[in-house]
Amino acid sequence: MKKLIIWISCIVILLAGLGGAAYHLLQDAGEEEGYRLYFLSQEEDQLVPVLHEAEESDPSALAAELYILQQTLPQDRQDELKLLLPDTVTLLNLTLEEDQLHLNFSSGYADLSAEREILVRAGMVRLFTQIPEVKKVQFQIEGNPLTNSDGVEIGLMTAGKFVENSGKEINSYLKTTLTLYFANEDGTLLVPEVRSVYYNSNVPLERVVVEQLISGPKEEGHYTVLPSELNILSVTIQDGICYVNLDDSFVSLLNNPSNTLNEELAVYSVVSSITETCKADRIQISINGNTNVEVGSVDLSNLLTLRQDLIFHEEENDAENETEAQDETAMKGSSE
Amino acid sequence: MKGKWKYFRSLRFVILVIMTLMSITAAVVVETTIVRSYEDRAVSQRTVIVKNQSDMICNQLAVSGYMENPHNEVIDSEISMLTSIYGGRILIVDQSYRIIRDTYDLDRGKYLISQEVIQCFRGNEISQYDGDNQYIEMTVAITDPDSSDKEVTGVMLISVSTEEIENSRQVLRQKGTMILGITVPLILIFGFILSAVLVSPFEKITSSLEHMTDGYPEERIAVNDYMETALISDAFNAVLDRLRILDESRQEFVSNVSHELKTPLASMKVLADVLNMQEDVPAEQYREFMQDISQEIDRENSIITDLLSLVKMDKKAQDLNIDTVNINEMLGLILKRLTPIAAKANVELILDTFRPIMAEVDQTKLTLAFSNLVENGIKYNQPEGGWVRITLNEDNKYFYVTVADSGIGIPEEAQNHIFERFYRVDKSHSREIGGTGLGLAIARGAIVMHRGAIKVHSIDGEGTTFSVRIPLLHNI
Repeated sequence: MKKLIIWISCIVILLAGLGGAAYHLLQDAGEEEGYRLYFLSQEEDQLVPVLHEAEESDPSALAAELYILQQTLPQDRQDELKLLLPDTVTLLNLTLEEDQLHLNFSSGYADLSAEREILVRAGMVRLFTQIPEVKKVQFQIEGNPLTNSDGVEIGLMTAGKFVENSGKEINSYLKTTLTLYFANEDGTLLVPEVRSVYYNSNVPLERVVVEQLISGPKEEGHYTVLPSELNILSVTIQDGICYVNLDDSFVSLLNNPSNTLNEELAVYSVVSSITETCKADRIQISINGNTNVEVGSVDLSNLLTLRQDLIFHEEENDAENETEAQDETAMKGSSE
Repeated sequence: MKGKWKYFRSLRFVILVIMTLMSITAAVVVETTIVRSYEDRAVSQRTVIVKNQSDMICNQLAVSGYMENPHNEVIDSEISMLTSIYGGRILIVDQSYRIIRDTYDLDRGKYLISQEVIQCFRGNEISQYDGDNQYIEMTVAITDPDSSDKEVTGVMLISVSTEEIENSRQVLRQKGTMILGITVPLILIFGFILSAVLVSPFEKITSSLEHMTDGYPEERIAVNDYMETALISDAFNAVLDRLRILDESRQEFVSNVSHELKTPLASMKVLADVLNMQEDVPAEQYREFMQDISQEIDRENSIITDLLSLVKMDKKAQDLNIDTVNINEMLGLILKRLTPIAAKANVELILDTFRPIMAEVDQTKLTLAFSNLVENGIKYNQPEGGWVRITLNEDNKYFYVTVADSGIGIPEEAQNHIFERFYRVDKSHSREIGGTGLGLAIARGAIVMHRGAIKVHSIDGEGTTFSVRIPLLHNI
């Protein structure tokens, strides 16, 4: 009888443990709605987001509403929070131009300590970029653009400009070696550049490749192939085909008469870099999901494959590696 | 059902279970402690190493003016070496919270507004371990060691992955579990054997007891493996000795009884034979002999009656027929009944009582006991006569009766034996005094049944005093 009781209690404890774990899992699946207002912690050393509903739908009006909401502490957390903006600073006006929001602060802003200033800036940028129409925020003091301590204009800021807690995801970062293709000096051929990068394992490698291409070359004698303003919509690989979806700035920038970049090289730098690094041998580039586009002389409606003739081979200038060069030419022949 | 569970109720099983549980618990505790302390130690060790390295680099940063111009190959290579060795990431933040160096090259040019960095600019360097996300994070303030105002010109934020510590912890855990897995069956086997060894002395006791039941009562048990078993053996041997003495006294009793019963029979046989062998025996002789035979039959009869009452006394106390009895009245009746015999022997009977005493006793049995005592006092008095004095007294628990006589007394060496059955102080006089030799045994039996006590005090030639003590209340 005693043993029976012991067994039963063991089972009960086990079940209780399992139940607790399950409950924990259920707890994690919550969703948040509304806008986050940013306040300071009591220590004034970090931003504390507080969810709040907003009524306005017009972007400018919504921005104004959010700013006003930001000026009052939530009732139930009076003691643990502080207002982001000190009394000495007021927002004179805010103007929305396309996707850029300009905030004009009173002169008291210039007197903020570096620590307070950065928190205000981060909080404001995060606050306003929640509005879908606002992508970038610019700060002004009495109408003059904000500068840093060296007098350099700080310019437009996005929410991504501010980071926190870099260590938390340290174990999800991977290091890899990419072979990226950039333009050579005269802009006629692609030259490989090998580079080691860290990337978050939540981001697909093929996207990292395109991002790195946009960020430009690091070695001397290599030249950029993609416009730095280019936005990536999505990059995915399926069944050996890599689908690269870019926004229309790709076409508009490349087809712009003032463009100095080679369209063919731009497209094939993407193709070569992805085939080199990822498990894909054919690339489908689309603009806003549309493949029926021509960039320069390249028709994007076809699946693109590696073109060896666009790649600069050192062997062609190196007599010592003749046999290798022959092999390469043979390969070139077969691929065409 | 009962047979099936027999093993689980045995001491051996209990020892096995306790041993197994204790050693497994100990092993698990040790394993967990080792694994945990490994983690703590590894983390703190790594923290210290990284911290030292970082401090050194920070000093170099401050001295070399890296904050103004973040290009210095020596420092860059030192930083990347530190991060590649420990799987970490280093961010260097300048006074405007801008990241001027990121070994992962992901966030350069962005602003780092984490709490730790702001605290570090205020002068509070931190170094903490996040076990859930498996990393150590620390901030080191960059201050020029030569400057006097100790202004923080930048912050170095170091995040070091502790995944490999976690991995080796896992390996350690796995190994620990594996060793546990091997140890548990070993412990079980060991426990099984050890429990058998531990319990074996008890089995030895059982087997020697069984041996004894099989009919070797002369043997003694000696299992001295443990103090406990030695004690059991001793206790058991004492019981055995007592049984042996009982057995001996029973044998002696039987031989005594047969002897006593045979004596009158032998007399009758002689008398009858004499009559049978002679021819023309005169009628007077016949009558005389037949009278003798009749006396012998009476004697035989009284012996048998005494034996029967003695056997009754030997039965258990539950057979007592308890009543609340006035002891004064009871003693008065006894004396009244014995007065004729006393008068014949010229003995005076005196009863001294102080107050009426009521007690819970078996009247019949006690009457027999006190009658025997008084009768003895009359029988063994001086030939020319004397007195028997009975005193009754009580305290709050007991009542006391003393029977004193002015008789011939009992020699000191005989005093220890007078309560034995058939014991006679003076074998030569027993015939003329009469009695069966069972009177005192019967009296003692009755008194002991009442949880009382009887003592004798006697001076040879001057008289004997029997003191009896019996509880007033009968408690079973």
